[in-house]
Amino acid sequence: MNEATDQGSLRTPPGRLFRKYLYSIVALAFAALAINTGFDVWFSYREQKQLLAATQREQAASAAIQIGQFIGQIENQIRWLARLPPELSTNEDERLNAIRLLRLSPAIAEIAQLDAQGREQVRVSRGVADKVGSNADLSASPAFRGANDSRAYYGPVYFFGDTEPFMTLATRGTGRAPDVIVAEVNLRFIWDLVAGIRVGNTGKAYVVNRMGVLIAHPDLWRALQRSDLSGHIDVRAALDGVGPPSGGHVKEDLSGQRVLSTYATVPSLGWLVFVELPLTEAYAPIYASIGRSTFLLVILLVGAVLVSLVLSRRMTVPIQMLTQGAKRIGSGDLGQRLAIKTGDELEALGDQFNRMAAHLRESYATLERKVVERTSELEKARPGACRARCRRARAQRGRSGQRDQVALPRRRQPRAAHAAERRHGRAAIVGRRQPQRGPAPPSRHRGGVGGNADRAGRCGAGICAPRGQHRNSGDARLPSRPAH
Amino acid sequence: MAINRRGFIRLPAASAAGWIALGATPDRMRIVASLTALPLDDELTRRNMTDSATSRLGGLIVGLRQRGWVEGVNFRLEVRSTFGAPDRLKTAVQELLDLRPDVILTGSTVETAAVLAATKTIPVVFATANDPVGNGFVESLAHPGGNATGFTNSTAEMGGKWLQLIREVVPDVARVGVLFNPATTPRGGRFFLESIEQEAAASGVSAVPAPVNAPTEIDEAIRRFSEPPKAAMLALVDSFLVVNRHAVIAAAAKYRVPTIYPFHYFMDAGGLMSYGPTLEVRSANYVDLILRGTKAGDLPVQSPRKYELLINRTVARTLGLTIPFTLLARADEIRE
Repeated sequence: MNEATDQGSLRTPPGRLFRKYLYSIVALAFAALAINTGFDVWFSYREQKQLLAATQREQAASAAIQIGQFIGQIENQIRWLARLPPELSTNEDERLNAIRLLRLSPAIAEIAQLDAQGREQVRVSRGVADKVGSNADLSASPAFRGANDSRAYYGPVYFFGDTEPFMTLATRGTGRAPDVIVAEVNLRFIWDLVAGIRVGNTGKAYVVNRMGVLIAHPDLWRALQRSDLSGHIDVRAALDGVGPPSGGHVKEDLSGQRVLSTYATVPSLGWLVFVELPLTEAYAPIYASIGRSTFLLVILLVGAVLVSLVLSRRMTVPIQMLTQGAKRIGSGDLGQRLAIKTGDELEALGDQFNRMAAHLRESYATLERKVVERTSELEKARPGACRARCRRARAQRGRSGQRDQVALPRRRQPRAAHAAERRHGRAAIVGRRQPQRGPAPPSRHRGGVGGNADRAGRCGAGICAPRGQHRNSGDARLPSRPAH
Repeated sequence: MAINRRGFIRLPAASAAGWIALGATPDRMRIVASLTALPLDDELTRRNMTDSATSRLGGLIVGLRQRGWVEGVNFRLEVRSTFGAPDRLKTAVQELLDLRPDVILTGSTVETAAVLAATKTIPVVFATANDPVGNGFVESLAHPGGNATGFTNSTAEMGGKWLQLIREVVPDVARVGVLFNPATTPRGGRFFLESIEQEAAASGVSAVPAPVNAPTEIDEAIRRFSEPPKAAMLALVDSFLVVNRHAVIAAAAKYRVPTIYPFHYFMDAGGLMSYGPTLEVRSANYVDLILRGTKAGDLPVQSPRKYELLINRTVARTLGLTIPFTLLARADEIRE
């Protein structure tokens, strides 16, 4: 009973080591993977954002160039008209070249030709009757004054008939008395350009003028409302000359959708081209990559759990075998070998256990042989002397032996046996040890008082230790001691 | 690869968006009503674009299909005609209102006025209306405010332009007749007459209004300009004249009166020349926005962006006219 509680406190609950290994391996694998995935996602997110913003900036710049070219082309056309030598068209209608230009350039709604003094010579229009030779004095008009030899005049954007964004463009010819050509340009034709700019699949580009008023938008109707966007933070910042943020600007567009926005300035006009891409589309690759990483993380985690299950089993199974082996050796069963084939330190340890058990077995064998030899010598020397002692011992076996067995604590049993023997004033009776066979019976049933009873029983078989050989008999009993 | 992957992501996203957009009220069939002055068998009201490239209705149906509205699947198109007759107008409007449509498309100024007098809640998109502010359809072109928006036609100054163009074809013209129906043309004809009279005074010709109130009066109105002094005619923007365009052109040919028209429809019927806005059917865009919940009053009234000059040289030759270089250079299309 006592032995059972002693051993119980030493034994570890089954599976604790296994779980410890499992948890630590999984935790380690998870930490490594999570950190790796986290870094990966974070950096790819940042790179993607930078890349997106860079792509968008390029798109904005390209859109700005296209719009600049659109206006530049009209400027070139009216410059051609301004520089046309008057002799060329002496025999034809004075409106003809302007009419040709209107046919060529649909965005020009009206062309006026002023002489060097600012008097209107010809006015050709799509919407109203043409005028020839009206001589109206337009020398004070900003277009006439703004157009000089080197530069064209770009007027402010105005809204004709409440809804149509228009701009005045003027160029001055060359020579001694240069004509000035003033053209009214319908900016609604930029719509074709803006609607044609592809920004991703659902993104768009729109144009605001120097005052922040929307002049071109893929949803044509938005540009007809004279929408003032200068209240928007990013438009305001752009108008104030702040460069676009490198990562783009996230905001809500006119229809309330969250978009990634950036802009570029149209050279020479000062207009701003904003390029917006809905976040759902812009970040779709980022979300996809996060999704992939998470999926991979889960897969790897499952793998880590499986691997650590296998690994920790490979660790704990041999350890459990060692524990059981040690227990068996402790109980005196020296015949069994530990079959640990892990090929590592645990196998070496198991081999050590096996060797130890073998050594112990050899020692026992030697000792027993010696005891047998000595006993037979003694037997021959004094055959009758022990018979009377044996009889007495047999009579006492029932009483003192059984009492001792119950009352005395185990670790004092050997001494108790000695005491009992001394009380009876005779040498200990050492039974011939039975040879080890089969699996060892539980240790608690061997040796000690039980052994004493055994020996008392065996005494009856006529094998007795001689009187005066008491000391030796103590030695002879020694082999049963490791059991305690 | 990158494109494939993007497409792969895009496809379900787009279809989901489409389903959400369309599937908001999947069980409810939307009703788009259209009120026109043209008879329903007129080629201009044909539904199929392949039958007639000039069909407004065909353009609307195609435009709506591009925006996810398929006739018979998620919207129903109900067309009613007034046949250009004022007495039929009221019943046609009432018929349409009884359908409780989601949006009403109107052809011209007269129908728009009739519908807007009957409803202040159902959104109205007018296809061609002159002077919507002056007629009280909208508060301003940029911000209509009420339940109507749409597209304007020629501006008032176009009157002077027509006069100038017909004068170039007939340089020795002394008087110009102005053909219109006071009941169906904006402001009883005054909308354009002001600029016409101004230009006539500047160029030394007399502008003579030639109002007609019934199809039978057309012949007589044009006949009066066949006699000397040398005369030409302008047809104003007027749904009555569009409906009766074949009669007008036949009379002009019969009495050899050079006439300029405001729409290219007249050219298809054999007119001499036309100058007016290019047909860019964008009403589908507005109908789509309104069906998706945008208020009509928030959508600005759109003015025409392009104007086109069409000249039929064969008709000019039969009238003994020579088309000058300035007009040939200006013409977008010269028919032989």
